[in-house]
Amino acid sequence: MPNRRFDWHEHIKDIEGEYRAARRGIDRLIEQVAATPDILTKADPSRASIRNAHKNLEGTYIVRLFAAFEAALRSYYLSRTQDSNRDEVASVLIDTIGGRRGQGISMAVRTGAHEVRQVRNYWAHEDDTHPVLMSIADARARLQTFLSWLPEMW
Amino acid sequence: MSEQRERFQNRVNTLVNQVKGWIEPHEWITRIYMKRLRDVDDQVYEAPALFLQKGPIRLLLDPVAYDVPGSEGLVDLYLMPTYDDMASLYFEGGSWMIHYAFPPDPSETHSVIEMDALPLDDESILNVLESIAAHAEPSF
Repeated sequence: MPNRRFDWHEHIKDIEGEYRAARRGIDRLIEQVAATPDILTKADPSRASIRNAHKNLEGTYIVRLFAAFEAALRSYYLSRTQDSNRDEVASVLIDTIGGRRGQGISMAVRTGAHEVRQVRNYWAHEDDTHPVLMSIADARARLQTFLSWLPEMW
Repeated sequence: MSEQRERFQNRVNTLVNQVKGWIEPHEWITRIYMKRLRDVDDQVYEAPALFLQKGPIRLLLDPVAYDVPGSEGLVDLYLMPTYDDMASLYFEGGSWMIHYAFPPDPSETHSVIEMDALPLDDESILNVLESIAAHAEPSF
């Protein structure tokens, strides 16, 4: 079945929407627990993890956002190469698809996608290096712009 | 649930055709994409999304869902290609309302950005689109 670029754009936007709903939920829970600590019992295992869930939520969703972007690139790359044994890492996909022999995507747009990849690495692999601070909205804008250079169908 | 879904599909169809008819005489170029959505029952259904372009400004009127708290339908308006949120259309009390924060008038000393909710008609959608075209820049 052919892939539509539009569907990948929408999938990425949906993930950001899920983040916003989860953010609203956890912010609300933090406020309520601060006001009424006994709404969570001491035995409740979520009690110990609320702060970290709050702190790491955006990074967790950036990992999902990038996974959707990477899946789109992989799908496009497979349609071009017709070789399912070629398994390139994300950085190679960005450069191969975006480079002169690919879609000729501007360096600024490619760099934008690489910066999201580095932030993803920080959150997914608990990389020791400090990534550039990036919001999920910024990550989404960079990845959507890169994808917009791909053909409408493949 | 399928009744609600069908109602939403019909409302979005009507909305997209109305908006097309209102804006095309004002130099906006449009194109319809069928969007696949998934509802709470995991049923896949389709509704039209409308791509709009005037000069370098590209927007997408994008159906989001019918099962939205406090509303019978939500359609968002994004700036493309970044998918930045610009405005939202809610189906409320039998009609579409457009929620949009008009940029503050620089001549006014009081410059708090407030979200306006306007009944959707040809005038309100054109005002919102022209405001976006005049002020919006993609975030990347």
